[in-house]
Amino acid sequence: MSHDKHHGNDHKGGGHHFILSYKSATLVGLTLLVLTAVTVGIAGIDLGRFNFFVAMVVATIKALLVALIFMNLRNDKLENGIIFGASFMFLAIFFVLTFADLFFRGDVYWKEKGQPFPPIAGVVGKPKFKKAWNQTPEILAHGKQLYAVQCVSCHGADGKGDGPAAAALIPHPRNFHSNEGWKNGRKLTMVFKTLKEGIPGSGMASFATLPAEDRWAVAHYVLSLNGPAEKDSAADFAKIGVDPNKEDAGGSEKPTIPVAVAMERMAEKDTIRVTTIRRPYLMKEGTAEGVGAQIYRTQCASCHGERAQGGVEVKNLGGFPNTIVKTSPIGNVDSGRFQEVVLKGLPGDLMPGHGEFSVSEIRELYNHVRTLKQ
Amino acid sequence: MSHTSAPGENYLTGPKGLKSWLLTVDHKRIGLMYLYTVLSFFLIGGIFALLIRWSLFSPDHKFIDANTYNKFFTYHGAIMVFLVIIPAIPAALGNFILPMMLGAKDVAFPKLNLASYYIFCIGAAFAVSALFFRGADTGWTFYTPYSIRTNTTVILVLCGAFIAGFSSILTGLNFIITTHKLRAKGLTWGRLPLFVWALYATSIIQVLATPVLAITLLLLIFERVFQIGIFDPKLGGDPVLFQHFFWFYSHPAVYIMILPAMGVISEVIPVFSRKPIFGYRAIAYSSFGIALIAFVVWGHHLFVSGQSEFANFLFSLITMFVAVPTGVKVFSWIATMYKGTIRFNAPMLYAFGFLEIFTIGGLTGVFLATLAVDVHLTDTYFVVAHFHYVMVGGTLMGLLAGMHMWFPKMFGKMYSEGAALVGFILVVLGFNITFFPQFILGAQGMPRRYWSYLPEFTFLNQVSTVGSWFLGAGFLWTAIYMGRALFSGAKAPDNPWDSKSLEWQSPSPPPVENFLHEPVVTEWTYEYRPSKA
Amino acid sequence: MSQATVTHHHAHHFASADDEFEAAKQGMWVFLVTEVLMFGGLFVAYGTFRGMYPEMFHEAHKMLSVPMGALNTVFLITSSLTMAMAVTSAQKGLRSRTTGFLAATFLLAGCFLVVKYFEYMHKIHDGLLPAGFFTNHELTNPKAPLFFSLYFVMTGLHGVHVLIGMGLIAWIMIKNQKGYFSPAFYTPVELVGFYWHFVDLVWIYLFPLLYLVS
Repeated sequence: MSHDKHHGNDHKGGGHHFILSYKSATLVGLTLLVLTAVTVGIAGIDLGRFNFFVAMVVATIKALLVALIFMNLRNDKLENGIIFGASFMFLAIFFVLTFADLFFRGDVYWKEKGQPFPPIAGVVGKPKFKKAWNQTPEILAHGKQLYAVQCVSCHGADGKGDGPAAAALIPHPRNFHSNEGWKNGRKLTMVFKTLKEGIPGSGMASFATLPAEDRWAVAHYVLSLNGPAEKDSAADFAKIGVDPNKEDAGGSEKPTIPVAVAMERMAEKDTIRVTTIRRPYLMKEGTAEGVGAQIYRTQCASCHGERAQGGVEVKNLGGFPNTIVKTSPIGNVDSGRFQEVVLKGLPGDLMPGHGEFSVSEIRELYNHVRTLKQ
Repeated sequence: MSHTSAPGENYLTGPKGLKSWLLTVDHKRIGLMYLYTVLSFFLIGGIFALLIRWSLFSPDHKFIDANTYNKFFTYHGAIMVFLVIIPAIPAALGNFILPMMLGAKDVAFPKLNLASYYIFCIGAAFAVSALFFRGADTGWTFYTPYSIRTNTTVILVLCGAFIAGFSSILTGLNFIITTHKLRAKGLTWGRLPLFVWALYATSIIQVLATPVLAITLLLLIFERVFQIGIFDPKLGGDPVLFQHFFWFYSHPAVYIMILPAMGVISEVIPVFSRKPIFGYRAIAYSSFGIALIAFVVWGHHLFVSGQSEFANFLFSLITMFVAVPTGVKVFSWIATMYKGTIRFNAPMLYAFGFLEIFTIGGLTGVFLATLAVDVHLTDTYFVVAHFHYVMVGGTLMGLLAGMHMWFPKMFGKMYSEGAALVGFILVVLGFNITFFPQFILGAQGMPRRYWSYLPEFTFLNQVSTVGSWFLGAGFLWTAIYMGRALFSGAKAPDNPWDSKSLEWQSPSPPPVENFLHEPVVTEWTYEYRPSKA
Repeated sequence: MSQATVTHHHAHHFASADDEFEAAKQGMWVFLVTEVLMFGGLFVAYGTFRGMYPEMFHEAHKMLSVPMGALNTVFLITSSLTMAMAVTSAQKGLRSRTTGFLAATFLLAGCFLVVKYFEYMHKIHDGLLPAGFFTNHELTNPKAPLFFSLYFVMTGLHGVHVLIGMGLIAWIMIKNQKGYFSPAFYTPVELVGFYWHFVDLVWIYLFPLLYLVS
């Protein structure tokens, strides 16, 4: 680029302004066009996963040419280069750490709909222990391992209730070396129950997300820290819904499901749309002006029409740009559902909740709506 | 210069009339307009806070229904975060003080500065207008998919936050260039006041993080309008991706809120201890340390949202590092006070308040960063208390310290120290009574954002509600005595605190172009000698 | 300001015109940083879904027209070249030549948008729309609508930037004709140039990522 000139102090007090020659600019422009052709050409050849890599390298060379020569970053102040470069550094952080989540979520996430997924109560897959309430050296060792992961932060490494988080928790976490004060009793089944349900009003949370056999294992380990525990009666087992004659560790428990699966389930559940126009009902006049009629007239009629027939055009303020939608007639639902919809509204729909109504008012309203629709 | 101000004339008495204020490009007037606007929103957000606490006075004492309650905490959160604490110190105090500290006549782009104020106002108008439609009930975090489905007018709040974000970006951009290009002769980087360093680090975060908020909110708006489905599981998208996007901005944003407050404290402590600041470089660099770490810890908000175990581990580990630069600052401040000649004026009192409250807030942050503990504490009042201890204790204490410090400079009037002491006691006491019980409630498992609670929690909730009245009274009292000082306060000397930084070397209130003579800096800002008296 | 040459006075809070120029330029760089991160968010979303559903991306991208995308790339790169030449002309004080190059840039940007318009119309006709409105039956992959959500959001946001850029170019073209710029003051031309090159830069990545998925 021998034609580039530095225009020094001849104008503009003290600054050096770099002028890019037409010739260099044209050269760069042509290079960029050639590189575009290269990108398109290479995309036609199958290089496996290298296609993406090559495309990105070529794009980056082009980007560098634009930034360094057209935007003249190569002659600019260093601090401007640092400023512009910093944006890419932080963008890289955004990429890397987001992907640290998204691409390490495990196999569950990748399953297509309809395929079986491993229940989370089976992080371990098949149960390792049969009749997990019987203590064996293996299950005790497993419990010790789990304890180190799940419990130490509050209950401490030695189980004295002195973990790093203990100071903040009131009441303090249980000291397993003492036999006093066990809220649910110092029995294997009761420790299992505590692990499953937590203790309300304390920092002890529910560990129902752990597989049942893991909870048995932890219970075994916790009790092993101090003297023999009380024996479990058949009634105790019944309390936690486990049949000691069967092998299944969780008894009547339902397995919980992973977040990703829950998300898919949620997606399958359809929401009700306002825009569907159903057959308008033919209705009689409402009877005397009771509480229900009054509420209907003041709160419902403006959208659902005088006779609950729907079809009124209303502005959908929640959407943008504002759209006009037709309301639905009030459906034939039982009183329970009616009360629920009136109180909470329909999420994702225009129907707002009316938490201000009392149950008796809603009952009146329900009766009134029914008379409207007869 | 073409027009120098007449002797005795200052920026308040300069050009007169409403128009001269609304169209001003003077950074001092823009700073004041920001201050008034932010304080108005603080009042609105505060009223919502009091109403929330009042509704939680007992489990069945309900004057608002559950849906209204959801809207109230959404308004409280959204207004306080986007319209109060983010702009409070940088845009209000910073606008006024930063150019003066640099010895500049104005910020680098004065018109852009005014534009940023009006963009803020437009954003605020959008956000607040939701109140007059069907409100918003998503919480200030707008989590999908609920924010896509809700039938409230959340879209207005989204537009508001989107627009206000640009105001934040422009302020940050302006401050960066001002600091780079408009320092007075002799004011080298090594001599800059620490408030400038803090604002500079804040500006970097504003510029780097806020665009991601813009694109996040834009995608969410598109989600509602065009059903693009990127964050909507129903259409194949990923709601957890929204949380990544949102927190990539919103975690650094908490440092946008706290760093300027730390800067204020770094100014107050040496002035009122009559000692050079301890660890000048350490404090300056730790601001950058915090700014950098701010960008790599956002995942700790996602520990229980189905994020991968690997990411959980990574984010938990990195989060611990935040404690290091924060600790560097706290220890340096304490070392500055050590053997100093401490004067207990109002700004210094609030600096003490900051140290107490912020340290508790910071340490409970370490609890929450610990993965296993966080699983228990997520979405409980423990988080609420932690957040308020760092944000209210940090930002608001910093704001109050700064307002008391620079009040004489801004208005040329002195407030009553006695009244300030009463206000301080009410605020700090009220704050601790309100929020400390929430740590205990949270540790006992009381979930946040619930309309009602188990009867076991009644007593502590009542304590908290009573505390909120003290806190409210404290702010009201502060407003009263500051308002009084504005009209009938004694005339302030140019440099009532005997400070060395540049803004005090100009008359109070300052002339239109800040200084009567172009300032030249010959020494470090913190060359204080303890008085031998 | 209608006389042939207007001498530019720098704002009084800067020590010199050169300081003002440097400040404005740095301000522009900082602004471009915000642009990088704003578009960056979209690229993260793109990376996420491409990583999750690589086959879907491969299948869906075939619905885009490579010749049209390539043509648009040529338009934008050429416009970047004419913009760079406009800046050079402004620096040399060649007023009419500056206007010529700016007009060429403006026209090329217009061509870009025209091609984009036909592409959009084609997609809309085929029902290749963002997820909620997707009605195309050729694509069987259930996740395919997501690709078009990304396509429309990314190219749409870029298109808005092109529109803004055209407005800016028109603005400095008029100012230039009025003799507002000189070799001593051409800051707005240079800064609009920066902005325009950035718009080009985004497209340089969008083209292979959307049109050439392997």
